[in-house]
Amino acid sequence: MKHPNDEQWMSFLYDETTAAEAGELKAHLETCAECRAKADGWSATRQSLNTWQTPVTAPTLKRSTNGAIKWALAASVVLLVGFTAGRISQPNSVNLQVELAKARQEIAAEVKAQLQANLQEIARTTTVANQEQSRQLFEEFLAKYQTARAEDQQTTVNWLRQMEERHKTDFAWLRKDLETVAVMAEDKLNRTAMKVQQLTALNTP
Amino acid sequence: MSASWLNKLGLGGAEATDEQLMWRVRTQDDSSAFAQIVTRWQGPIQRLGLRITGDAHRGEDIAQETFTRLFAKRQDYEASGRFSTYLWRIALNLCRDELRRRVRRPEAALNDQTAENWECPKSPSPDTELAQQERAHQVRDALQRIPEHYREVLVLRHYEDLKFREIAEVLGIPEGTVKSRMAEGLTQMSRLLAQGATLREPRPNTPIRIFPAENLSL
Repeated sequence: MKHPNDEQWMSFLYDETTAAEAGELKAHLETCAECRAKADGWSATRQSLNTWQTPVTAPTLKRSTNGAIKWALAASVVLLVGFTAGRISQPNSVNLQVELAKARQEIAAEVKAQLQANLQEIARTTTVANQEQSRQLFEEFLAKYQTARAEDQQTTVNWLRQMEERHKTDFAWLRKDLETVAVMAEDKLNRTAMKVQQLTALNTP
Repeated sequence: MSASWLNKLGLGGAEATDEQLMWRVRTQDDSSAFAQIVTRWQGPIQRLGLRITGDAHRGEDIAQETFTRLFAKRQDYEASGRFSTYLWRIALNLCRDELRRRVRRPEAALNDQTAENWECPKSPSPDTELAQQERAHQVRDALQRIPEHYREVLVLRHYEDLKFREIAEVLGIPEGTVKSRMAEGLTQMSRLLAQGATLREPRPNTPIRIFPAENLSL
């Protein structure tokens, strides 16, 4: 029996095969205990890997939502107390049920509307705050980056100046050496010219 | 630059792709575009750093350094390539640097045992939750003990849900090699986790660390 290779099994385990390939591999698993054991082992390991989840935090939003819910609950309590007080002070019990139902609907609608408005406001505020925070972080980062860049540029400029100074000094020494050589050469030439003249004078009858 | 006319054309705002945002950063030093990129990618890059190094603080440092490098080298980004590939590469290189530093300074390795590294899916009973938490510890320890090239593939495929083809692109290796590494990585993890379970079973009150170095046979 020809067994599929590990690469094929990986594609299968992570749903990256075509339907036809997946069908063939599934059929093979049903007939091959060896491959089934291998695939089961990998699947179990994958499940174990899922136990390590990294924290996912959204603290700002969570705090704000809790605040909204608390506020909504407090509002409901206040409205219910008011409503109960009204109910007690109302002597006519025939109309009471009708008014109670009406008032309940009104309160529910009001609380719902208020809660929605509040949640929208919180969502908007959170978004603005996050954008502002991101902007500030970016500006800080940009400032630091520019400072570092300016320092680099300053270092480069200083280095270039040092090099220029060194070149000037080298040039001055070179010029001095050349002048010395030129003077010595001229002196030698003069002496040689004199010797030639003397020799010429001696050879002239 | 105001993005309102881009929004009207359906090309700007929150719907912009990573590549479009990066283009704005590259050509206009657009701070809001860069902030959007950071918001989108901070979580995944931090998670990658944490899982590759096994250390939450290093994960945060790696994410920060990744975005610093991204901005500093924004001109090097070629618009023809996928932005995510470029970013994963930067982050992975930083993870490798961190692991190399650890080889030079072994005392810095795995010193972070704080609770912030750990979070298990919520379970109904405290016992089950504790068992899952212990399993999560085992997984983290085992992951730190498999060779780096297997760990990279495993983290990118299993946790970050990149396709094998994308991982091949990020790592610059053939897709077949990525799959082979994945298979070997999973096999090694199976072996290490089985060892860990066997070691724990007879002694229920043993400390959290479950992989004494002498019992490892990698």
